[in-house]
Amino acid sequence: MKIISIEEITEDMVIAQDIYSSSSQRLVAKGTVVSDSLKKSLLRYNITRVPVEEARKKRVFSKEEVEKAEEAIKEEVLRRFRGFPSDSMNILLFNEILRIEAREKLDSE
Amino acid sequence: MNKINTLKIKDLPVFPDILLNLNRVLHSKSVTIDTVNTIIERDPALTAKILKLANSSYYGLSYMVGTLKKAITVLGFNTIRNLAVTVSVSGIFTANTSRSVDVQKLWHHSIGCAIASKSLLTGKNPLIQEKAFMGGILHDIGKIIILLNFPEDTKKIIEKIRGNKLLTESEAERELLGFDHADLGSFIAEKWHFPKELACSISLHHNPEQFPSFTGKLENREEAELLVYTIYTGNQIAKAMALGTSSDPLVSNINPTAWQKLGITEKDLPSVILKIKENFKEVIDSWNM
Repeated sequence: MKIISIEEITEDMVIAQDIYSSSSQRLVAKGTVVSDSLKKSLLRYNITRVPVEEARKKRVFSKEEVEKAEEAIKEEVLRRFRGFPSDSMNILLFNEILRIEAREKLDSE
Repeated sequence: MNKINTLKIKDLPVFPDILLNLNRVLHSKSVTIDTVNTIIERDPALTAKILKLANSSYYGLSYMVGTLKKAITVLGFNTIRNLAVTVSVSGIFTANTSRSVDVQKLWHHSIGCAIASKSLLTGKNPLIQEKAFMGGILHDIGKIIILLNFPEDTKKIIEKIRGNKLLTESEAERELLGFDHADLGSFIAEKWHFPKELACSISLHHNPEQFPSFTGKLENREEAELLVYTIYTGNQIAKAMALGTSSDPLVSNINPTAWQKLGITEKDLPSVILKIKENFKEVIDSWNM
């Protein structure tokens, strides 16, 4: 972990510790990927220094890694959908959810 | 609906007078910032919670709002009403515990449905986006009231749907009680003075195709139909993405008519889904509900 100035954070970084406001309200959870709205929100609370994970920048995964992660969660997503959907929009929805959750799984490993 | 009246539901959650007043004044076209401010400020705890939610990254304000009046000015009457209702409904959900239903996860499912529903209408009139958010928050309120009044029946309903994957929760409720949570939620929404189209969308959140035969009085049928398809789709997406957990968590194939009514194409869907995922995470992390 390293602590950097809010001006230096970029959208490929991951927050390393929960961040709280001066009134003890949790603003950001550990593990959150930095986004533009998150940066704005921290600035509103006058948070000027931010803990970020050094090694866990947004990573690039190989096709094989992504396919393996998708295979690992496919059964769970199929269960939610009561099986593979039957029309193009529902198939697209299924595939997008699979892709997002596989990415989330890889990011958390 | 008659069956709901004759059953004489004893335990209706208390809906604060402040919110009933708020719903009444928001029906009026001459509502002012001062009127809304005066009503809400009578409850300092509610005011503080609204400010906390308004300052979360979900609303993306470029500066921090320190007073309720400022929050109303920046976010508008309907968003503030939504936040006030969200705080109160959160209390209704989380004050109840049950062995058969995980109430906290069901509440998160309602938040997920609200976020998904609002996101589905991105680019449309902000007023209808806020109604969609409210519809998501309230769509399963009937489940909590059934749980409060009929805990033993709730247990049987959950056992029935777990034992038969083809049976929906609504079907099991109808078998045991003669009405379902959608009927009851719609009844409550009217009782709490929410707009009629919101009550309609709660009533039809599993069966939007039945909208043409909905006989209730609606000011704008076109807008009401859009809201019905929005809450229906938002609910299905929240289940598909496992945003919280519904007590009936399985997804049905989303009716193709819904995408047409919403104007969402194959090209739009990936970015809509990603936005829902990000917004849900932001809200759950920062609202602490």
